[in-house]
Amino acid sequence: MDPLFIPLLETAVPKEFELYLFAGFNDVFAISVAAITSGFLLFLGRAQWLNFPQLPIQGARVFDLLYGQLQQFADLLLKSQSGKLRYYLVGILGAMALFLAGSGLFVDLFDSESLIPEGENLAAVILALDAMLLVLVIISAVASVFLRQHIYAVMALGIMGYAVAGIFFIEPAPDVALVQFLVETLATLLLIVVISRTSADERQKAMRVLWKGQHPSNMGIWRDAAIALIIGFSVFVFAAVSIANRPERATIGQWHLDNADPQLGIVDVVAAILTDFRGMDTLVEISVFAMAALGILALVQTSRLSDPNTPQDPRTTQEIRARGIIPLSTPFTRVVATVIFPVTTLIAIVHLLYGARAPGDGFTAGVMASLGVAAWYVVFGYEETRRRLSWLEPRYFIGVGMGIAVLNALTPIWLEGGAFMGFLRIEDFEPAGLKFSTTLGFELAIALTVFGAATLMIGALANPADYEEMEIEEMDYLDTEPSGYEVTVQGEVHSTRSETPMDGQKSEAS
Amino acid sequence: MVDLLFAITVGVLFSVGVFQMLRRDLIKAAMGFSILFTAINLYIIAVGAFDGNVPAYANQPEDSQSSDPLVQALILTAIVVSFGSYALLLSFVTTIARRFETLDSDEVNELVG
Amino acid sequence: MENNLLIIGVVFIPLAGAVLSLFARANNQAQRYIGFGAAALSWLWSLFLLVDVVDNGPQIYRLGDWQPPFGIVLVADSFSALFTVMASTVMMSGLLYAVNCRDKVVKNESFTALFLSMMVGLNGTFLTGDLFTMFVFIELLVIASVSLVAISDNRLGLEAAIKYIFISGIGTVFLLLGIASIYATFGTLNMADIAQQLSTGERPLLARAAAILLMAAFLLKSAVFPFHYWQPDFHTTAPTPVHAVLSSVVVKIGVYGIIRMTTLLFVEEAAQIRQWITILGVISIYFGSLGAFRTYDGKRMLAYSTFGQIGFILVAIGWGTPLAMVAAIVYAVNHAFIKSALLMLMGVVSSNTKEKTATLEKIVGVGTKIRYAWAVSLLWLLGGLALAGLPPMNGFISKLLLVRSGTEAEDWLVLGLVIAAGLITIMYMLRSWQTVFQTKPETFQVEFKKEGGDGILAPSFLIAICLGLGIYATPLFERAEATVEEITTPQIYIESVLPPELLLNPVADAPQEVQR
Repeated sequence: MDPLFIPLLETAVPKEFELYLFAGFNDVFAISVAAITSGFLLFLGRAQWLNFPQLPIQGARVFDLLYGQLQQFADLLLKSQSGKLRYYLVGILGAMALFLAGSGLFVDLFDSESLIPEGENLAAVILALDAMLLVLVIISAVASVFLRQHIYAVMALGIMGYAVAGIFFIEPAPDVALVQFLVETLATLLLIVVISRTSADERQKAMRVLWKGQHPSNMGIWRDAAIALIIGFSVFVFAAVSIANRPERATIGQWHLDNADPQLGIVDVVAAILTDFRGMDTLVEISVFAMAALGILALVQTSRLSDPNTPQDPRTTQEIRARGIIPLSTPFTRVVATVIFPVTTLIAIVHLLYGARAPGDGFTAGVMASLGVAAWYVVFGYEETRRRLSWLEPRYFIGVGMGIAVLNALTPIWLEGGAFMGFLRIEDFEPAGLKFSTTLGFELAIALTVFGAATLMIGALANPADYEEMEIEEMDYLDTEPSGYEVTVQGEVHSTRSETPMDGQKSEAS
Repeated sequence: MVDLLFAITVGVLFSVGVFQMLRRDLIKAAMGFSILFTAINLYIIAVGAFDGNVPAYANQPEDSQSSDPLVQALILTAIVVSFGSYALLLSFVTTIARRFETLDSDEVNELVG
Repeated sequence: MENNLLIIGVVFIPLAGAVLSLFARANNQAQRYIGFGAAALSWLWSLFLLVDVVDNGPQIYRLGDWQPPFGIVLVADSFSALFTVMASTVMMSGLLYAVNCRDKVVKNESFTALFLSMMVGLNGTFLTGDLFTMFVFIELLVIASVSLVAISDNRLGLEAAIKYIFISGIGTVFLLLGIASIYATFGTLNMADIAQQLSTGERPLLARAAAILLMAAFLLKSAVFPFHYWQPDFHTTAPTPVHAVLSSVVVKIGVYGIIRMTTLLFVEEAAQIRQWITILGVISIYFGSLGAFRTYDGKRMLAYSTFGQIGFILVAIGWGTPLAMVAAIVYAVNHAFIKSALLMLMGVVSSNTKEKTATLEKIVGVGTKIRYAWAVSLLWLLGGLALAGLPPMNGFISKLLLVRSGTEAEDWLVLGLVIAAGLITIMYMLRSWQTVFQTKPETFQVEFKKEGGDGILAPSFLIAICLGLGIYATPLFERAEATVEEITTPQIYIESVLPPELLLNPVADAPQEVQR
């Protein structure tokens, strides 16, 4: 008994205890006996008191009443789970707006005199360009709200992104500007692909209800606008305060500026932070990127399986032709695309090699190279690109890239007893006059992962139908549901189950 | 004035992003998502500590002030991470359009109660 | 302090497993074994780490050997080590369940990689000592989980996923705003460094704004009212193994963040924050419990129940006394095991039906006809008792501690509400047990699968833990007590992370002038 219950009791009541099965006749025992006896008597005499004359208040009825009320209240609560994304967002953002507005935060901030930024220390030319770009950002962002046609809104969004890249360049943050530029290109491309792959009817319908709420009075717009204004204003105040107090602050950024070159031999301090000082962030970041790509692939693989009868909407393809997005196959574009692939690859390699001293790093290298592939998808179409680039299996790029990243992080522990994510500090390793940075291995890993992931994203989004066809054979089911498809790949019929172990070994070896 | 304009831009982008995200059209809402993440990048630049006039490179002349390298590194990470979610979001939109045959987020409401 | 390799293992073994599984994509079974192997190894690692922390105090790992606050540091103090063990145990069980799972989704070539990424993200979030790294880890977790839900066998998974990715995007924006505001204010991202600058009592610039923003972000991650909208949908439609980890450990990220904020970072604002948290917690308790009480679906019932249970934890954090904090931590850990076990059991039941439904009306009596019916029924009853807080399960200990800390805090109104809500829990758990396992209908409304459903190894393991922690609660209780002792003295955390020369003297007048 003791080892079982003592710990339990000690947990509940922090006192010393001793337990006995029987502790003698005492008050507690007497009360227990009395309780048990009275209960027993009540049970024996139940025929008497169950037929007791009707009381005005009956336990059972009270319970039923309460139970009913509780159910009604619960149903009322559950109504708020309306299934409409808009209302969820309104609820969350509205609550946030209330928190920000009601916290008395702004009273404090306005009291401090540091709100309005002052001091002009930028050259006049840059100042003008800077201001122009900022205005352009505002105009194009607002335009993207009011432009009904998706494709124009996408263009406005693209302009905004490029203008932001320009602002980064003037800031001056060339590395960020480069990445922003590339990512904006990729994002715009993806958005156009998405628009071209959704049916025109659905988009027309969505455009019609764009400014309509559930109620005809359309008050929702004002509610949305109020929330947006409060949040926007809050962030404006935060940004103004931070900028106004810039020069007075001490940060760890200064240490990075001072130590990048002496300790690592990397001139580009941003690259030094990304690949070494805060290399962990980057390692997880490329994992995020890779997992997003794998998620897209998995979604594309399964979406067809859950709706196997969804026909390809013929309008989609026609519309694409009309818009001239895909395919864009003219002799000229074919030449351009053929040429662009080696060129982007070359640029990527240059970024990789000179990441330590110039803007551009593993990430930009990966995106660059994948833009080359994207151009092929656009120009040659999915089928031909797959045929021409049959060696290109994005998933293995991801695997190899992340594998190198992990191994690269582990090597110092094995070889030098150094630290994880530390890098082997190779002195004077300058083959052929090129000075490699110590983090080249990591940069390479980043580039491979990002290239694989970006290519996978573009491929999967650009041509889901075909991609699905290709992948089905790899999914093997234990379910005994009638499987209506014959799995044929490259002319041979796989019986997946018997071959899988061998395949597994093969691919692990590769 | 540019600094103030910068702060205003960040604020406007946030407002526009939030407003855009509350639209019924899923593609428009996705654009709002993208605007919000661009805005947050500008905000991170704004919180950088140094008013730099040269890029954050180690071999700059003595009298120049580098821009804050740390916030730039943070933005680079944030851009990549948010682009990952954005791409995933776009693939959801495409698949939703096929599976639910609508782009109106009010009609994608089978999960109730 | 020396670098401790155990911390690295907990975070990077799953990552290595994810990479490995990408190469084994031709053999799905092998992928899942790799997944389970990596998770089990990482689980062992986390146990060693906990033992090490118990014996030697907080452990750190400086990545790349850069001195904090300039580089990134992983920190395992009692709190994060305990939560890591909790997370790893449930994650490992989730992968164990996946090995024997008949859902189509587990046969996707990316499933293992995505699942292990969730584990990386979760362990990393608990262990990192750097705010921005925490953001990246949380994003990894979000991306992986949202992908897994989108490809769920339930075709509505996609709907839930798109809703969540929007809402989580908002959360991410708040989090980033908060982190950036912290950097604007203190010029550092290291939590220990921020904590020591905050402990001087000064609140320059955006410190308060950052507190609000971070708080909102963490509340959103834990699905607390009014940020809860995504949770029932997202959790219900997830594949069973994913649901089991989402609803039990992933929601604890917010709890972790809030405890860290109120004990390490914003200690002076803690009183204010706690008031808010108590109110939101009580609303969450009732919203969640009543939702679970009235909803139509077994899995959804458990998702709502999580919403309510998080409320209980928040109320305990809101009371804020040392005993209440112990209660919160014990509650959080116990709830993780209980809820994941129950979810897996519900998954077992629904996987026996052809349409894989968990709608309560349809699965009346299904629990009586499945393989190992008696075992599943018994396990569900034990789990239900645990969730409702009845002996001899671990849930009883959590509830007992909660009530005791309530009487100690003398917050009678809230305590009364909490106890009343506990009754609702008993009601819906027992009702579901009766419906699914005790009723024998004349005709079943569902067809059964011939080959049977998912394996029950994983839920049995978790229920065994629940029973063990119920009967022999002392170790967990003592650990929680030690943890609370440690986290209520932020100086311990700060001193174990920062080198002595960077420590601020708390009495110094000019704390900003530190040699950097």
